[in-house]
Amino acid sequence: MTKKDIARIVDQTQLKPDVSMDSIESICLEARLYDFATVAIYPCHVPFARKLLEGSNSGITAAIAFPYGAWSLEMKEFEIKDAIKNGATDLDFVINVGALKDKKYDVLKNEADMCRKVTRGKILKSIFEVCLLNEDEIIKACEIYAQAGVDFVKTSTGFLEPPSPDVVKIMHEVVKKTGTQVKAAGGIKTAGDAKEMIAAGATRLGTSSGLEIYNSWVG
Amino acid sequence: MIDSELAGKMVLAPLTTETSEADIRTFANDLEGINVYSIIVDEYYIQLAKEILPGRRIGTIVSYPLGSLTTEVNKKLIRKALDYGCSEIDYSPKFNHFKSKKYDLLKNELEEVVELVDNKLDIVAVPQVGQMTMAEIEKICSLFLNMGINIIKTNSGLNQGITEIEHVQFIKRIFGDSLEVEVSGGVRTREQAMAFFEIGADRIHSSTWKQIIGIDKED
Repeated sequence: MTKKDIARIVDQTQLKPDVSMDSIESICLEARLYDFATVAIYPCHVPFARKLLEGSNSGITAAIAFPYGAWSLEMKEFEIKDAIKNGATDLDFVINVGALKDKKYDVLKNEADMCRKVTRGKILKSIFEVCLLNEDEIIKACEIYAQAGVDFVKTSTGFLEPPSPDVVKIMHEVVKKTGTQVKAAGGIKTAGDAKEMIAAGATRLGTSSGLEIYNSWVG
Repeated sequence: MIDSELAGKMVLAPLTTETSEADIRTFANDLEGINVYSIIVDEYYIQLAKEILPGRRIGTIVSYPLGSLTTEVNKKLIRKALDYGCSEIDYSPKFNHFKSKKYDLLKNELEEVVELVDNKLDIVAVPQVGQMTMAEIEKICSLFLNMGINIIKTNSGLNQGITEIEHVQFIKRIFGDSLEVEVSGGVRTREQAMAFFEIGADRIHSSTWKQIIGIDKED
């Protein structure tokens, strides 16, 4: 995998709440320069990023229902549509983890179907916050969201404990025969971390260290 | 023995990613016979909380804890809060606009929020004191007051800093009784809570509320 290849699977992430507009501009310019897959940012920054990334190969990932995910379908649908209208190409949404804990799988299926329906033509990634889940819950969530046809099942928001490569392996095992892939996010700071996640089955990486990983990447 | 007076000054907010319906029901059972000031839940749980905690002050969160949503999504959440008859919203302004000194953008959203709420519920704004200098705290609280918002909750969750006694002393010295102060972030014990009340804090948010009001023994 070359430097160019690694850039194309990185969502260069900036999700600090008090980040300045200069910092958003900076990651957008980096994305444009190095061809990162997307910049992953909060919905309120999407219109700004859209202007900066116009004509580039990099998309815009909007963080949906961040960070708790405890929204009704109506709210999630509203925010997804708002983000797409503003220029988002990728939608990373936090699933209703509480419903998973309650084993209310119909709630999750409805959520997965609705999110897929309103994001046709866009990249949809469902975030599980795996550090809060046991293995059975991770497998169940992967099954439900892969069945709905999400593009990626994603490990974490980045706010809580980072995922291990072993968790990524579990997720990959569940979804590998479907069209769904795995995005690892949280705690990926170095080229070594990135390689471990890729070896475990991740095909997209969420990291705020995209530039460092790119610069130190030896294929 | 339960300290009822202290309980009446507690704001409880079971806001975590994994909070489930079962957790909210357990929480409601724990509250039987105890009058706290208010209970803040995620949008997904407002209806349930209203049903199982009748007659209580139920609030929800808007752009909380990160100040990261678009104004359109914030307004949608506020409309939902109004429809459900919520007593208050914990609202995080766009910290990135503040840190970037884009005060006009910050004010524009505050104006829209205040206009939409139209005094039908309390707006509790979050200055995020754990991430601000004292000068910034004075500036952002002044902006809130100028917009007609006179209640603050000092911090939001997700490791965004704790509230020190000095923060509240400073706010009270500058703004006196014109600003009600709800302290949040790092208050774990009754002793800490009492120290904040002694210097003029109006209410306390804490996940260790049972210890603070005397239901559970302190560690």
